[in-house]
Amino acid sequence: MVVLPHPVRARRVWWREFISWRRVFKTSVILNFGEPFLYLVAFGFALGAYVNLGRGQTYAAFVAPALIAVTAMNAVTFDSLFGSWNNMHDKRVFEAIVTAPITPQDLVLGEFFWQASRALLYGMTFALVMFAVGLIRSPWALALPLVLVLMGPLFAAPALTWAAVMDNFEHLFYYIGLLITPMFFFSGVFFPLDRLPVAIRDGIWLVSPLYHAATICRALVTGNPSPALLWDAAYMVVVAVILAQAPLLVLPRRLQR
Amino acid sequence: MRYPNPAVDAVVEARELVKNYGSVQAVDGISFHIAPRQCFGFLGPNGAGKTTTMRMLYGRVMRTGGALRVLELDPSTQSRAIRERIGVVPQTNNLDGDLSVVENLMVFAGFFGIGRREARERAERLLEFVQLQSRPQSRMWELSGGMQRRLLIARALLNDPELLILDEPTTGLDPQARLVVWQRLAELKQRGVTIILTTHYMEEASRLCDWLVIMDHGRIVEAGAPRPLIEKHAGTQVLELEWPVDAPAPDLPDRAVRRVEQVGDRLLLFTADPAGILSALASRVPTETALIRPATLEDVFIHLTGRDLQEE
Repeated sequence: MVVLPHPVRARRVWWREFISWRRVFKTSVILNFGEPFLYLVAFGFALGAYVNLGRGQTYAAFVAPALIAVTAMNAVTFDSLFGSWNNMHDKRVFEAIVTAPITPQDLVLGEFFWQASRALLYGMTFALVMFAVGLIRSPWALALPLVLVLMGPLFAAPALTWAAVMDNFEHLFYYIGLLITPMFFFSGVFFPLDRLPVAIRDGIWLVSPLYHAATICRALVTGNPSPALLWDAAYMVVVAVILAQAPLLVLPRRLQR
Repeated sequence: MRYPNPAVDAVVEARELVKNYGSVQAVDGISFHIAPRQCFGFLGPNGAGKTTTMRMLYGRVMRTGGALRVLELDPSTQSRAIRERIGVVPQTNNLDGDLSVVENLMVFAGFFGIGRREARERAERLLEFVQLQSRPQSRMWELSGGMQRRLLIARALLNDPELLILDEPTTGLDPQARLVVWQRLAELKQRGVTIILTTHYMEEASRLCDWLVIMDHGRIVEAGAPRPLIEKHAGTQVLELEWPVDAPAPDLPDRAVRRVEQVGDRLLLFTADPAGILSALASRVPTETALIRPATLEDVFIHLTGRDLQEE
């Protein structure tokens, strides 16, 4: 039997996550936001002083927009992976939620809502700092929230599924090591992909959601969006919808036996 | 429509209920019937299938076989509707450690769609009911085991449930904390809430339950009201003697000993006249360690299963 999640009940799950986040947000901001800021300083400005991309653009201006996407990806991934795993194990938060009249499907949708909020919040905070240091000038940047919100479920779905399937906490690190870190390095965040062989570029296009998110962020920040971006957006929507099915399938089995 | 229609005579109706985990039969074909306003107890050692049975009632665990209706709904397809109308106190604490006492209640009330203002009122009222009104801002690690259990009970009452399910509500609590929980449950019962509880404390079962079933190895081995059950299986009085395990039982005067049982290094004589028996045996048994006491559910359980209630 297909059980559809209900947005009103999902919002109640969002509310739980918000209340619990409110308590820790000062420290979590340092964790989620400090790291990309460090990348910006280390790569953008320090390493960037030695780099000429030959595009009439500083290296910092090239890296920074993609780091908005990286910030959102990490904020969503770490919470959906480690946070959800804890909520499914020792903390028993999910168990309590499905004892109330909330279905596991409502719970999953609520997590998507919440992770969309996180992506938006952390991504835009980073964008504001960029704006403050003069790295954002185009009004197209006002469209960034749309990309960030989409990144929430897109990156939450696989992380939540991985957390639900793995009984051993140590196995969560494989998700970071095998998926997130390679994606981080090879999605056109730190170097343009145009000198890579076509086959590799196509491969990255196919398997890396971060590539598409970073591409859109960069185009919006630099203020030259092209119609080709619609393909990136379409990729994100389609892949998010497909990946979202995984936790909707796995979590009910985990929470009801 | 907060309370079941009086024309309907069962809050829970289970027939030949089965739950298998792979080849393990956790619940092996049990049938029972729980009337409105009843306090219904499941007694049994750990692993008897009590918790699995509780979980099947609210759809946390899906049954393998048999028929089950809770509030006239089927838990395998309508568990959400059931959970709207019941309260659950789980065996293992699952309070939200990220939230304060009052936030725990507010957020949980939100899951039922109770508005903020109403939720705050209910939270205040329930904190008073469980005597936590002085700790609304405390975090979970600041609460004792007894306080956490009381908060779990408050949380289970937020939706004004028709049916309250408690899985070992007092396990691990000190006697004083246990007494507070019993008082609160007795009050709820008086208000007309149907209560289902599991326990392996005989005193809890005899004090609170109108009806109880004794489970062992996934089956119901006996059912009845506490007093009649004790009278049926253990009579009214017990004479306990210190008695070496291998020693033959003493020759007893024929009269009035319905049964003799050896439990560990104690010999139990079930009799209506323990004092008379003791004086008749005085020369042949160690009288100074002898004990005369009323028969309890523990005696019933040992008689029926040959085991102590808290044994694994």
